[in-house]
This record gives sequence, structure tokens and C-alpha cells, in this order.
Amino acid sequence: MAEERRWYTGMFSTEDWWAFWLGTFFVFLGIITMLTGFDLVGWIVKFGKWVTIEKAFKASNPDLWSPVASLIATYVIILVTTTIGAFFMKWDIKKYLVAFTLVFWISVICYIIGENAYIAATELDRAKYGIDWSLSLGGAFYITALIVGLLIGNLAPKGFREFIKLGARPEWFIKVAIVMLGAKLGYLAMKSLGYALHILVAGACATIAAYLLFWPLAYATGRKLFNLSREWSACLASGISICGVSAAIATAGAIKARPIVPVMISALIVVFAVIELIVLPGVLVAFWFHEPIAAGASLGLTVKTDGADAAAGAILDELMRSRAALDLGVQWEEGWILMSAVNTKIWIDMFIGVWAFVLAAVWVYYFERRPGEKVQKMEIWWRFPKFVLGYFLAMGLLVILGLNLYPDPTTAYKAMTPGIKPVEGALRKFFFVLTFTSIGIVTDFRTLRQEGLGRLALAYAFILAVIIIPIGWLIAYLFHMGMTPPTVTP
Amino acid sequence: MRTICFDLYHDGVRWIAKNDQIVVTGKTLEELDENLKLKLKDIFENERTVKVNMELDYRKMIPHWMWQYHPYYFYRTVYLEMD
Repeated sequence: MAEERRWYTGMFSTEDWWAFWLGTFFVFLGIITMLTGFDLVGWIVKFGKWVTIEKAFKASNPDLWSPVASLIATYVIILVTTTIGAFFMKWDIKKYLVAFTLVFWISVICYIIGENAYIAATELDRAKYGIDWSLSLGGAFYITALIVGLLIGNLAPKGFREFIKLGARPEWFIKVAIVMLGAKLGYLAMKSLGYALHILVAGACATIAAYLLFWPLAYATGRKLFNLSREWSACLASGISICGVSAAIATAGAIKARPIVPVMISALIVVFAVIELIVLPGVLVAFWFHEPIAAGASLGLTVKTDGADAAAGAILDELMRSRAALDLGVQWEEGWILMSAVNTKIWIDMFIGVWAFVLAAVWVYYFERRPGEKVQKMEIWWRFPKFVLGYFLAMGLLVILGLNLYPDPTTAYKAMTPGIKPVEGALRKFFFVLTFTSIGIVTDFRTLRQEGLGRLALAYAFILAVIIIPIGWLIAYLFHMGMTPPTVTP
Repeated sequence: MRTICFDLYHDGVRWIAKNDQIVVTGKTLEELDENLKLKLKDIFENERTVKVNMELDYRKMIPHWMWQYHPYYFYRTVYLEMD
């Protein structure tokens, strides 16, 4: 039914808003626990490295919950909360319940396999687990989930593939996790406020530089070298240089492109993002080990979906820390490299509304000059990614509470730990694993064989390899050079 | 000034603006606006300007897997002069 769009339109009917609601809900459970001591987050299941299977997972509060009870509670609570979202978004609830259940338990199995100590333990960990060898594959649980997802997405029977996709929502899951990551940044800021601010500001500067360079170069290359029309070139340029599928849709909408344009470009973006997710962390660890924060930030600038970027950041974080333990004999604090990757991406995401508004104005008033059409400033708000509000809300709240309720940051950090740690740690990581499984399931490499995509795929690969990745690395280096994560004692 | 809202579709060839009372098509958005103007002239005889809001029906035009990336496609406002 046609109706006027308001500022609150979509508040209960879009994944973006539901990522805000769910992420904020979990963070608030943590904050209430932190403030009252009444444990609302002890049910969260926490996976860890194991040699004997009974130690593969436990509750965040083992005094209140047995391992199996916490695993079932985590399943039920995530299922119920996401199903409430699915209900308001008018999805097919019965199918979602079954499909999500499959995605959940596949993720659990992958998590457990990938955390086996012989696979995941670092050299420094081995004594703790009583083993004398291990592969030191940090983040193997992410890779396992991705591989299993890709096998399903590419080899399973078509009917099953299409069905399970209803419960595999990588972008939704990662946005929920990113809100929780905001809580992590606020929590870690108690220990390293200046460092957290440095990462935030450096990420913002890098993003502005990237916007100003990436888009014009990508657009011009599409037009001049690959002879793409304005419509295709603008959407491709936004998709590849800003924030992937979201930018392709926003730009296509802003310039009133036919819907087929962002649909085809988005199919490419998703596939290339997964290729980058598989290739880039390994390359960065091999060649850029001494610039871990810059390497993380470069992912935010070059991997074009939130899910794949955060996923690549999580793998890079694990791989870099494993190598630091091995080569340098130090333990870098978990999460800073990942936050660097997500931070740059979030800044990129935030400006998509402004960029869409600018493009809409240029197209309506300069290129197409349709009489009577007005570009509305509200477009900036409508296209603003709302989960980002949750990220900053979580971070800001924890910093404000921490600095005002406790005598010093160290006391604040300790006081926050029982409530916030399970949310920003175990639960957030589990949403990451759900994202990995889901990315695999929704990525179909056969897309590249689709008729009509040849020139577009070639243009995408060329621009990515020649413009986006080299410039992204350079900008990330300029704004983050010399930064390494704080070290912790094992 | 009267305001009227439409859902917008694209069938691969034409843009289609549709609400409970009216269906108008055009190969381009300019043509659609022109055809809308002709149609609305009959309905709003005494209006000089009609504000038309059109929102592309996201859920019908964009595949399900893409919805999670961005909340809507486009929402356009056009002021049609009836003279």
C-alpha cells in the first residue's frame, strides 16, 4: 500500500533497525548485570580450545549454568530474539525457525572442531593443554564455518540451498555483532582510552581520503576503460569503492537506475568479497606483519561487505596474534586488529547517505533534469545505517558509565567484566561464526559464469586489483603506521 | 496542494506507478511523470500543483537476500504542475 515515507519508516521492518534493537538489547543485558550484579548474561555459551570434548564449551557463569544448559539457552535465546525480528519483518516464520536452527547447529559444530587445541593452540598455549604440537591456526573455527558454508552454498541440492538461505543472514548477524563490538571498544577504552580514540580518528581520516580517491577513479575507469554507461558505472564505482551491496543499492536508488543494475552488481560484490576474505588475511600476515593495525584498517577499506570485512578482520586478528606469539613471544590483546578493520568500514558506511544525497542531486539537477523532481534531505537519514547508532551508543554508554561511576578506569574495567565480557566476547564471537557460516551459504561462485556479467566482472576485478587494494593499503598505512595492539600477559 | 502516493515497479521495460485507484506506466521516469500529469489533470481539476510521492516496492523488486544490506531503494517526490 503506497504511503508517505516518514523519519521512523522501517524502524520495525528492516534488518538494519533489527540489528540495532537486538545488539542494543544484548548490550543492555550486560550493562544491567554490571550495574546490579544480577546475572542476565551468565547463560551465554563460551567456546574455547579443548583436548577433551567436555571442555569444548561452558557457560559464561559456570556456577549458574551447566555447559549443555548454556548451549541450549544460547540457541533458544538467539532463536527467539531473531525470530521476533523475522516476525516484524514479515518473513516466513516456520521456514526461518528451521533454517536458522540448521545454521546455528552447523556453526556450533564448526566452532567446536576449529577450537581443537591441536589445530588452534599457539606455541605459548601448548603447555596449558598438555600437548607438544599444534598447527597454531588461530581462527580455524571461522575458516571451518566458512568452508562448510561454501560447500553447502555451492554443492548442496538447489532446493536445500535456497531453503537454508532463509536462515543464513550474514549482514544481519554481523550488524548485531558490530553493535556488541561497540561495547567491546567502550570496555577496552577503560584500559586504553587514548589508543581507542586514535583508532577511531585514524579510521575516520582514512575513510575520507578513500572516498575522495576511490569513487572518482573507479567511476572514470568504468566509463573510459570499460565503456560502461553512467548508470552502470556509478553503481559499480559505489559498490566497489564505498560499502558494497549497500552502496550499490543506495547509488542505484539515488540515480533512479533500473533495479536490475544493483542486483547484478551486488551478485558480483558478494562473490569478490568472499575471495578477498579468503586471500587478504593470509597475504597481510605474510607481508605486513609489522603493521597489524594498518593491515586491519586496510581490510575496512578494501573488503566491501560488512560481513566479509568483519570476518576477514576476525581471521586477521587471530592470525596476527598467533604469529606475534610465535615470532615475537608476545601476546597482543585480542580484538584491536578486528576493531581497526570494522572501524574504517563503519565510517565508510555512515557516509553512504550523504553520498547518495549528493549523487541524487547531481543526477536530478545536472544529468537528467527532470522537471518538478526534488531531492529530499531526509534521504541522508533514511539511508544512514542504523546499526551504527547501536555501535556508538554501546561504546559511548560504557565510556560514560565507566568514567563516572567508578573512581578510576582500572576499577571500571574490573567492574564491567562480569556483565560486558560475555556479550562483547563469547556472544559477539558466536554471531561472527554465524556470519561466517552464512556468508558461505549465500555465496555462489557460479554467479561469475552468469551471462552478461563478463565485462562487469572484469571491470570489478581490474578496479579492485589496480585501484582499491593498492590505494587502500597506502591510505591505511599513512593513517595507522607504527600502531600495534597493546600486549597482555598470557 | 494535494499529495498523492504511489508504489513503483519496473517490469524490465517500463516503470509502473500504482495505487488503489490509478495505474500509470512510462518507459522512462520522464515519460511516467508526463503520463501521470495527464491522468491527474482529470482527477484534480482545480489543483495547480500536485505533490506525487513514489516509492519503489523494494520487497517485490529486489531479491530477498539483498534486503539485509540496505533498507530501501528509492523514494522520489515530484511536484507536477497541472497547467
